[in-house]
Amino acid sequence: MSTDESERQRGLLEERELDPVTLQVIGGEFDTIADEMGNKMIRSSFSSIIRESEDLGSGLFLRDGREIAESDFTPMHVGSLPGYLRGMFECIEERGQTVEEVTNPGDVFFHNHPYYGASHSPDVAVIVPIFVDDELVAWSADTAHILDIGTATPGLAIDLYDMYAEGQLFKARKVVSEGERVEEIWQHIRDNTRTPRMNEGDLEAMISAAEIGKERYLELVDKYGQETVKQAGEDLMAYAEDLLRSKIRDLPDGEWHEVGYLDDDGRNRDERIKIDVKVRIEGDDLTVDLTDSNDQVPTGFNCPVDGATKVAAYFTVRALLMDTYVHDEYIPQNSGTFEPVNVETRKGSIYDPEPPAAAYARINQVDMMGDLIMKALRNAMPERVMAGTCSQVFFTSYSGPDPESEGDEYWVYLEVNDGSYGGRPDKDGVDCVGALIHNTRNRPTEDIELSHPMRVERYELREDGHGAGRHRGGHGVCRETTFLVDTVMSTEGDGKHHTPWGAFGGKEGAGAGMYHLRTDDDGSDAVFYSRRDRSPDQMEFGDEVDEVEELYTKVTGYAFEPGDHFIVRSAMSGGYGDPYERPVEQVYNDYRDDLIDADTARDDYGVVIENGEIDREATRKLRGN
Amino acid sequence: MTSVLVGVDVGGTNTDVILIDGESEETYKLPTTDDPSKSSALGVKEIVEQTDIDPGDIDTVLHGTTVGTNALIENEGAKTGMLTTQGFRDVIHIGRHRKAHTFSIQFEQHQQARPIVPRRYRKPISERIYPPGEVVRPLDEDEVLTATEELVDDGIESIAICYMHSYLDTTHEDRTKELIQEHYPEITVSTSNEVVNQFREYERFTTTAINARLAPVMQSYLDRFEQRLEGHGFGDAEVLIMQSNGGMASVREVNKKPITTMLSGPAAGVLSGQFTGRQADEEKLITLDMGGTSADISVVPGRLLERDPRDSKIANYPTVTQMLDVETIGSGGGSIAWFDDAHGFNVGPKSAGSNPGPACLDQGGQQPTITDAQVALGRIDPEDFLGGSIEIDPELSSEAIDDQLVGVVEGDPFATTERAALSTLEVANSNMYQSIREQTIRRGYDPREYTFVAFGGAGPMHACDLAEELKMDSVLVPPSPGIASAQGLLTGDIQYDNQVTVSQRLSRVDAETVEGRVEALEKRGIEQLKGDGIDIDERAELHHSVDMLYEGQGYELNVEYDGTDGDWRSRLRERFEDKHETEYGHYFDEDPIELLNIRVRATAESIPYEPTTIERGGEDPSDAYKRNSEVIFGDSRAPKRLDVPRYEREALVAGNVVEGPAIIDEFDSTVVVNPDWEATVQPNGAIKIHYTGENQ
Repeated sequence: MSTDESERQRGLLEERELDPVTLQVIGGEFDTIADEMGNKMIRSSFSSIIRESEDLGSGLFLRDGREIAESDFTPMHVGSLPGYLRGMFECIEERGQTVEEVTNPGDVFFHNHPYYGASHSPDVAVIVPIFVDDELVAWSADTAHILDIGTATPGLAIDLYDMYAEGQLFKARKVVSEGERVEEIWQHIRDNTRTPRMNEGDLEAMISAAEIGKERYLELVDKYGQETVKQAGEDLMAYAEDLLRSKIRDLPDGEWHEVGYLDDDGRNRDERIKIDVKVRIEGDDLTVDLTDSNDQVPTGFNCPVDGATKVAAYFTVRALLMDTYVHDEYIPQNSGTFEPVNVETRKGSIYDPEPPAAAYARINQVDMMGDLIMKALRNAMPERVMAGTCSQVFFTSYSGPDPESEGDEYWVYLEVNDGSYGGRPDKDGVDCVGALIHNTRNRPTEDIELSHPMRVERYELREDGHGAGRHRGGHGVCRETTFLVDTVMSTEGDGKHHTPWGAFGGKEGAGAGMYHLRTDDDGSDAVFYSRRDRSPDQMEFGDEVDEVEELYTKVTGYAFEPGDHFIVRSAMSGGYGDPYERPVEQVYNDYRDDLIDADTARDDYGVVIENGEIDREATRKLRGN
Repeated sequence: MTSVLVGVDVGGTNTDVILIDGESEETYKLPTTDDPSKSSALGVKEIVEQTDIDPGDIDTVLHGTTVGTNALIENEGAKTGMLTTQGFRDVIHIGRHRKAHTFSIQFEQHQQARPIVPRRYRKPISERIYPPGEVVRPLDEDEVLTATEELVDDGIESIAICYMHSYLDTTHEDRTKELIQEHYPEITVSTSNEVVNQFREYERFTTTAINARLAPVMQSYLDRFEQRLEGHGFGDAEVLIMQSNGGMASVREVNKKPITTMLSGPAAGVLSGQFTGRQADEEKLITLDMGGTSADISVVPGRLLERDPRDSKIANYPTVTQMLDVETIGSGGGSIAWFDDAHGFNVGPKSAGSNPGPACLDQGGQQPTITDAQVALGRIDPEDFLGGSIEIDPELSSEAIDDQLVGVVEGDPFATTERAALSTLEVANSNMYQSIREQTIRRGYDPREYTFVAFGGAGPMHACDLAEELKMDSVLVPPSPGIASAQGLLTGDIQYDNQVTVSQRLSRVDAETVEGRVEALEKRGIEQLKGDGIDIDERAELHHSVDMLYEGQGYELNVEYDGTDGDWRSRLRERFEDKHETEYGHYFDEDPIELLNIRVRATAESIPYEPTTIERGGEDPSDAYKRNSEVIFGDSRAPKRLDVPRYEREALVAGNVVEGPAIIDEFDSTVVVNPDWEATVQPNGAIKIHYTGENQ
C-alpha cells in the first residue's frame, strides 16, 4: 500500500464523525426499516411478480438522493432508486421549478421514465418526502414491477417502436398531494392498463410501505436528532466505500477485455449483438468500460444507463469483492458502494441509448455484462469467481382477457425462468437460480394453476449437458406448459447462441431454447412429456403432436391456441476445474441422479459405468491413475 | 389427591428437570448423554429419589426435546425416499429458486447442498390432479409398486408421498400409502396432505420429507425413553411432548407428525416467561431467554403469538407447521466482539461456543466474548461462576479485550479495557433491542406497557439495560432462571391443530361446504384428544378460525370464525378488513375476498400448577449479603466505577428489597440490578426489579 493510499484510508476513517457504536446502532435501524418496507409490500400486494417473485426494492435517501439504506431483495432494484430520485429532480427542474417549491408534506410521487433514472418503465417508483421542522430532509421510496403499464402487448414487450410504446410514463407525477389522493390521475391510471385492480392494489401497498419508511425515519429523528441521523448516513456511506476500496486495492492493477454476443434485438433476427467489456483496476478505483459494446437497437432491447447499466456493474463488483457468504463483517448497502466503481458508456450504445428509443427489455444485456466482468477478472481473482453462468433469463408474460370481465381486465402472469450458476472454486454451480444479476423467487406451480388457465406439465432440472468440471456447472430449468385457453405470450430471452464458458479446465455448458408444440386436439388428454427431460430434437412424441417449432428467444405478442404446448429450457452453466479431478463417487452419484448418462461419465469425466456399476479398473486406466 | 408432574427439558449441554407435587418443587440438572433418552430418564429417576414420592405415583412426565432438530441440523435421520408427481421431481431441490445470498458468488443453496431426499431417491409417478380437484391422469399403481421396490432395494426406510394439489383431493396420496403399507409394512410413510394440507408445493413437500426423515428417529427415541422410564418404575406415567406451538401432544400423535415438535425448546421458554408473568399478575410480556450462543426473544401481548407459517424455517429448511413466534438471534454469552477490515465494530454472530469458549475459561479462546466483557466489568463473580464449579481467570478476559479491541480506532469508546467492554455490551444490547423493536413497536405493541421477563444464564445480566433502552420500568427474573424452560413444560395445554385449504371466493362458497369442512376438522381433533384419554365433555375445547385474503394477494390474514348463522359472510369480511387495515394501513371495500383455509384447534387444558412459595422476611436483605465489589456501569463514553454490594440469591427471602446498583449471584446466572433500579423478592422467589429514576 502506498503512503498516499494509507493516508487516504486514515482520512476516510477520521472523516467519520460518529463513534463505531452509535454507527452500528443506527445502521441496524436503517436496515430494519428498509426490510420492513419491503416485507409490508410483499404481504399486501396483489400481483405475483411482487408477492411471490419479490421483484421489488425499498430504502431511505438523503435530500440529495444518495442512498443511506436499502432492502435486500432484487439486485436490479437495489441501487437503482438513487437514479430515480435524481431523475425526478431533473424533471422538476426542467419545468423551471425547484424540488422544494414542488414538494409538500403528505405528497406521494410516481416516477418511471427510462431516460430519467428508471431501471425500466414497468419498475415504478413510489417516492415520499420526509420533512423535519418544515424542512425537506430525506426521502422514503420503493420500486416494484407493475404487472401491466399499458404496454403495446400485455405485461411486457420487446419489439417496440419507441419509448412511447412502453405504456404509461410517469415523470415526477404527484398522485397524492398534501395527504389528498389526486383522483383524476388515479382514474387515468386505471383507464390505461389491462390490470386496473391489480395495479391499484400493488400501488397502494407500495404507498403504505413508503409511508412506513417515513414514519420510522421520523422516529429515529425523535430519538437521535436529524443531524445525528444524517451524519450516520454519511458515515455509513464513507464506511461502505472504504470497505470496497480496501478490497479493490488488494487486486493487481491492470486491464482485462472480454467479448460476448446476444442472440438478436427481437426484430432483426439473427443479427447478433456485441457486448464488449473492459475492466481496469488502478489502485482503489475500478472501471467497467462498455464503450465498444453494440450501438443501440431500434427495438425495446436497450438498457437505461442510470437505472440499469450502472446498477448492474455496481452490483457485480460488490458481489465479487464483498461476497456476503465469504465475509462476516457488517456491510451496509448504500451509495458508498457505488463510489469506487466507474462505469464508462458511449451515448447511442445499447448500454446508454438516446431517446426516443424504447428501453424496456434490459435484463439479458446486464446478465451478460455481469458474466463478462467476472470472466475478465478470473485470472486476477481465481478463488472468487465462478465459471460461465447461464448469462440469460427467460422473462415471460402470459395473458388473455379475463372471461369474467367485459374486456377491461386481463389475467397476466409474469414468469421469471431462471438459469444457473457456473462451477465455483470449491462448490458445484447452483441449479435453477438467477444469473449473477437477478434474484427473484418462482411462483408455486399450484398457485399458477389455481389462478390461471394453464397447466404446468414439467418443472424440473434439464438433464443434458451441464459443463463438466471438478465442480460441475449448474443445471438450467426445463418448464413445459399446456395452455387451456387462447393465450398471448411475450418473452425476453436469450442464450440460444451463447455457450457458457468453462473455467480452469472445466468444460462449456449448453445454450438455451424455446419450443412450440402444436397438437391435433385441445390438448386435454395429450401427454407430452417423456419420463426424462430431453431436448425436443431428441424427444419422441406421441401421435397427438403435429409439429415442433423452435422459437426465437425473444417474441412479442405470440399467440397460443388451447392445447398448444410450450417448452422453455434455460442454459446449463460451465464447469470449474479439470473434470478428471472430480471424485469418482461424485460422478457416479450424478449418474444415479440422472444428471449425466454413462456416455458423459466416460467421455467428460473418465468414469466408466457398466450395467449401472462403476468399472474401477477401466476408470483407472482411462483416467491414467 | 394432587398430581405429581415432572418436566424434563433436554439442552445441548445439560438436561434440566423439575418436579412438583402441589406442595414442593424440586429442580435438578445433569449432563446430557449421547443418547438423550438415557439422561432424560435418569433425571426423572434421580429427582424423584430426592423426594419421598413413590415412582408409581408420578402421573405425567412432560418432555421437551431437540432430538428431531438436532438430527436435521446434523444431517441425520432415516434414509428417506419420495414418490412425487411426474414432471415435479425437483420441487424440493429448486425450492423458490431464490438465492440464499443476494450479493454472493460462493454461497451455498442449502436445500441443494444438503438435500432431505437426494434426486436418486425421488421417483416420479404418473398421476395428476388439477384444480378444482379434477383427476387429469389416474394414479398408475404399478408404477407406485415398482418405484417402492427400487427404493426398498436401495435401503430406504421411510417414504414421503408428495403429489401436486393433494390438498384438493387426497385420494391419490391415500391410495399410494395404502399400497405401500400393504406390500411393505416395515416402511414408514408420510403423505403431504396429512402433514400440511395446504397449497404451495415446495414448502409442503419439504415439510413432508423432513417429517418422513425424522419419524423413525423420533419413534425410536420415544420408545427408548418410555422403556427406560418403565425400567426406573415409571411405567404408569403418561408421557407428553412439547410441540413448537406451545401445546403438548401424546407420544402416539408425535410419532405420526414429529415435525410439530421441532421448536419444542424455545416454545417451552416462552411458556415459562408467560408463567413467570402470570405469577406476578402481569399479562403483557417481552421474554428474553439468553444462553451461551443465542437469545430467544418473544412478545406476549396477553396471549401467545404464532408465527406466520410462511416464515417458519428450521435449520434453513422451510417447514410449514404451527409454531410460537420466537425470534432467535446470534447473541449469547459466547458471542465474539471484533473489528472488520474497515474498522467497523461487530458483536456476533460468530460465537466461541463451549469450545474454546470465552477467553476467561482458559481453554485457548483468544477472542473477547460478551461473557468476557461481563467479567471485565466485574459483573460476574470470578469465584462463583456456576457455583464455583468452573474456574475463570478475569485477567484473560481483560487481555483478550486489550489485544483485540482497545485502541483499534481512535476515540473514547475503545480507549480503555472497561470502555471497550461497555462498547461490547452496547452493541450486543442494540442487536437484541432491534429485534424487540421489530416484534413490538413495529407491530403496534408499546413496550412501555410491558414487563420484561429475563432468564437463561445470561438474560438477567442484560435485563435492566434493555428495559431502560425500551423505556420499560419493570423486569421479572424467575427463580432458577437457568432451568426456566423445564418449568415452562409444566404449563402447556394438550393441543392439536388441523387445517384444510378451501381456496374459493367468499361470496360464492356455500355455507354447507364450509360447515362440512369444519365438522371434519372438529372430528379429527376430537379423535386425537380421545386417543389421549381426554374426557371430551369435561376438558376439550375447540377454536375455529379462517385464513382470508383479497383475490390476487399471496399472504393470508387469520380471523376468527363463528359459524354460518345470519350474515356470516359480512362478519368475516368486516373482520378481515379491520385486520388488513391494522396490518397494512388500508383496505379495499369492494374487492373480492378469497376464503383460503379453515383451521380448527382442539385443546385440553393442562393440569393446573401452583408454584411453591419461599420463606418470607423483612425488607432488609443483609442476611444474603456476600461482600462489596467494584463493578462498572455507565456507557462507553462515561463509564462509572462503583463499589456495589453482592448478594447470594439462595439466601434472599420474600419481601427483601435490594437497591441498585447491586449484583445478585446464583448458581447458574447473575442478576444485575442497575443504578436507579430496585429489586423486590416475590413470594414465589422471583425477583421483580422496578425503575425508580426519573424520565423513564
